[in-house]
Amino acid sequence: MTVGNRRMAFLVLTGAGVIAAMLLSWRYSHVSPAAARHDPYEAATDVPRELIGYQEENTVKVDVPEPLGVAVGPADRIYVAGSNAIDVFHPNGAKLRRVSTTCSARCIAVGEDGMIFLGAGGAVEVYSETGEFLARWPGLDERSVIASINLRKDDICVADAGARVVLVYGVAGNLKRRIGEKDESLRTEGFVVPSPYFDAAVAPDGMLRAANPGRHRVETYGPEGSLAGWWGAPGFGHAGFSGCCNPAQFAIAFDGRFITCEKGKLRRVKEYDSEGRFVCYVASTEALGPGTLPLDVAVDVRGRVILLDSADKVLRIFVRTRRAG
Amino acid sequence: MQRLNKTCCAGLVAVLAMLYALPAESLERFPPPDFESGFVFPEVTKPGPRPQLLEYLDVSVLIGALSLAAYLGIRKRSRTGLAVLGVFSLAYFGLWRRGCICPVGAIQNVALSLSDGGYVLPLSVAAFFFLPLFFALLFGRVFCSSVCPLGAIQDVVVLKPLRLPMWLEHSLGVLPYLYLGTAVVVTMATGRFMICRLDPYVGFFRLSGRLAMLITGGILLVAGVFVGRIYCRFICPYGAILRIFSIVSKWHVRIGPRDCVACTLCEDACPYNAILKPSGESAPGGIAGRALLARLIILLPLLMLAGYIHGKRLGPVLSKMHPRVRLAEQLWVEEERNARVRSDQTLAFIEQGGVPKELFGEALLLKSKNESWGRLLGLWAGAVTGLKLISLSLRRRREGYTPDRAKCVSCGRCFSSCPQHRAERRGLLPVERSVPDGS
Amino acid sequence: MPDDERRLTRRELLHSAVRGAALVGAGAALGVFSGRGSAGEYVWQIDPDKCMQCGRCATECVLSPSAVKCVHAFAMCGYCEFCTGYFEPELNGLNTGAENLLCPTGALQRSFVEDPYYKYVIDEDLCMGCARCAKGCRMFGNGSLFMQIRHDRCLNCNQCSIAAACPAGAVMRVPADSPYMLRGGDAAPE
Repeated sequence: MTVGNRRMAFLVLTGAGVIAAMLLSWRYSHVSPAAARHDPYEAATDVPRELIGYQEENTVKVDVPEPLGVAVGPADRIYVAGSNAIDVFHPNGAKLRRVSTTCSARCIAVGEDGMIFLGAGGAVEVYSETGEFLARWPGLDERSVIASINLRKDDICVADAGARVVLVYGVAGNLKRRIGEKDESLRTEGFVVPSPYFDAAVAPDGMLRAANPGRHRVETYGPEGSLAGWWGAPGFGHAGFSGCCNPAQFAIAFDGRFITCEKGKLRRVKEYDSEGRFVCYVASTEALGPGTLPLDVAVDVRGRVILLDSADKVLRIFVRTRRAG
Repeated sequence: MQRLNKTCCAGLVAVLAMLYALPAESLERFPPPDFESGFVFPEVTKPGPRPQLLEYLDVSVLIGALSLAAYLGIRKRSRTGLAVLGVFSLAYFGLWRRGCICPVGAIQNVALSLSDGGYVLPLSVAAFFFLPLFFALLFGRVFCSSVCPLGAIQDVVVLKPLRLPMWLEHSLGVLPYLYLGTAVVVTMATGRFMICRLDPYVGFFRLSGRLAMLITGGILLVAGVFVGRIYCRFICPYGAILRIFSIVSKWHVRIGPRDCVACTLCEDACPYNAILKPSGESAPGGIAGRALLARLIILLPLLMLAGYIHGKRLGPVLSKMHPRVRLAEQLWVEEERNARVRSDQTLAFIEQGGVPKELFGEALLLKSKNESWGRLLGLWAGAVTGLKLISLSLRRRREGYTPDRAKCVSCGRCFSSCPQHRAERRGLLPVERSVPDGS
Repeated sequence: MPDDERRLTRRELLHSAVRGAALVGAGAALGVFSGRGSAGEYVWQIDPDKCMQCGRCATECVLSPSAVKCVHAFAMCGYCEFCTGYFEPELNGLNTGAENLLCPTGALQRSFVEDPYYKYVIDEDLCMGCARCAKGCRMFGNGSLFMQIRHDRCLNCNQCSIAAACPAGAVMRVPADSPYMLRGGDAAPE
């Protein structure tokens, strides 16, 4: 009987040992995926409060389908362009009217007389104030992707992300200049546009400013198209432009200040002075909240920054809370 | 403060990870730079999977190995042959084919193809599932003997087998049926393959795997030195099906080549407790035995009923294993707490444009379905327990020593313990060529 | 003795009946399964549009290193100098010192094409499938770096252990004759 008992004890002990070892190994051998993961972008999202120089004054719901472009028109009215429609808002955020169009607009500019210019695919479409179709300016070639339109006096700046060139049209649709193509005599190095985000505008000093997102800078072009200078540098710090290709959008205020928008994980909006020195944040990544699309930006005469958040379908209107300079 | 920052950052990370659902599409059409240096895009290499032809080669090898195992076990009565074939199978199906696909795991593919209309059972997988079953109906568990790589790896380590007490043997013997039912229900209810996830030996075939699984497998192998084929006897769900088929098989291996003379020499030859002794004078049961049997037959539906009633409680367990239900519960908690920090699961769900309301509805439906699956499993468990008790109370008259057809894995270890077998091998008796044990 | 004979016969009869039924049943089932159309094999693959680059592919695969590798769609790449899949966000200057690189194993390698473009290629023998580069590219760039299961390495387990762990449900069975889900291009095998 002792032999039997010893055998039983051995068996029971073995069994218990087997089960205990298995349970222990299952409990402790699991690799925590969180530990294996690594987020190098965490540090860059931290913005000190004193660097934020604006405050959100108003948030306006937008119900245009697929709102992608925003512009400020006569009397500081706000125009939001989307699929087959444009909504016009009073500066206080009240909706004034809807203009029907026949295209899915990606970007918009509005003249002092109320003429509406839309970028749709590779072409520019022109509508009257009341939404009457006036003209269609076809793109340069089949690569054309119009990423932004800006307008100052008679110059309509069209940034073509596909052809990687800025086109300056007259109001009648006459192509005045092509700017930014690689040319040694003009000292231009060409635009680096790795993704369909590209912007250009004429500043109050009459010189054209264009984003060169792949080089992370804003470039100044002379009247004949020569590269007159540039500012900006890559970086995840406050003054730098993050990601692969930023700034994605910018707007120039009446006094020459720049409001830049960055796309990507660090969705942030910042102000630079007319020389390109970092001034402050308009909105940090944290403030902008969830969103799946980049932003479009416009500045009105009062200096308010109007952001269009395409994902949340809202206009966010920011006012400056500290004195310029 | 730092913690707050971290939380905020994590929240942002979560929030911003959602960027770019729409631009992704436009990006695919966005033109790459114009290169002036004549740069051409390199090809994206696409190394293909294993050719289909090789899958059919596996099926042919399976058929060959099964036939050879049947021949070696029943006709040739060669333990050495079976051992060599076992090593071959271990090398081919185990080390070379890395254990996939195997008939044990194929149970789940069959179950999945029944529950998931989108999954069509591949032909080779169907062959791997059904061929050993056909062979079991004809020749007994020849698949277990020397074709199954899981069996083979255990068979080679049986060095000092101990005899388990019968009560332990019988109670553990119910586990494979319960495991089979559980695995099928889990697959059909949740799409998860628990047999594969809990396969203790496949890590050795791949020479890598989760540490927990390797440790478990290692412990089972060491324990297997003393308790032969632990997995086959007390766990393997495919073995559960094979057992039943083996009981009714046309032919089966025998201990000795001729009629048993009850010399008792084979009594300790089987490391798997699979040799039945002659019933002697004690059987059959008589009046008392019949009364017990009658009671057990009445007990069977009661057990099944109890299983059906209590099986409902397995619903939440199944739901916990279901990825969609888990996602819904995680999302629910996060919505309730208005969490800024989202888990990867819910983040992905939102990123993919999921609608929480629909998910919650789906989860509720799944939960009630899982209760039905739980009841089914309870019913099965009741039936298995009841039938096991009934089978224990059945006593049959046996003249000599015979293999227990359910438990016997046809390994051939008992052959040489039979003096008649040895005599034939030494030429002292003419080789018996009569039809082997058939029923 | 006659009693004995009868009992044996009864059992035998029962067994052959069960056996016959099982043979017919299993045969019919096999017939049904093989008759369900041309059932090709399945392999596992990652849907890059669902993938969220969480990094579990590197740790959950039964293989070490993982059979999941980063794949580069060259036609989608921006060829950026400042590649967010290549560089750490906090740079100590735009140089290729190891401390500046995201890839922990040096598998993502770059070469100069022409000003200002750089070509990025993945050395699959070094890649461990951590998806850091794919995450950087997806977050800030075009998403031309993405994760795929490489079938010259994958063991095609009956159930992929990455699939069980994937938070996005991005790992799925796909027909073996179109085993890749590439971004910006076709998915046919070579």
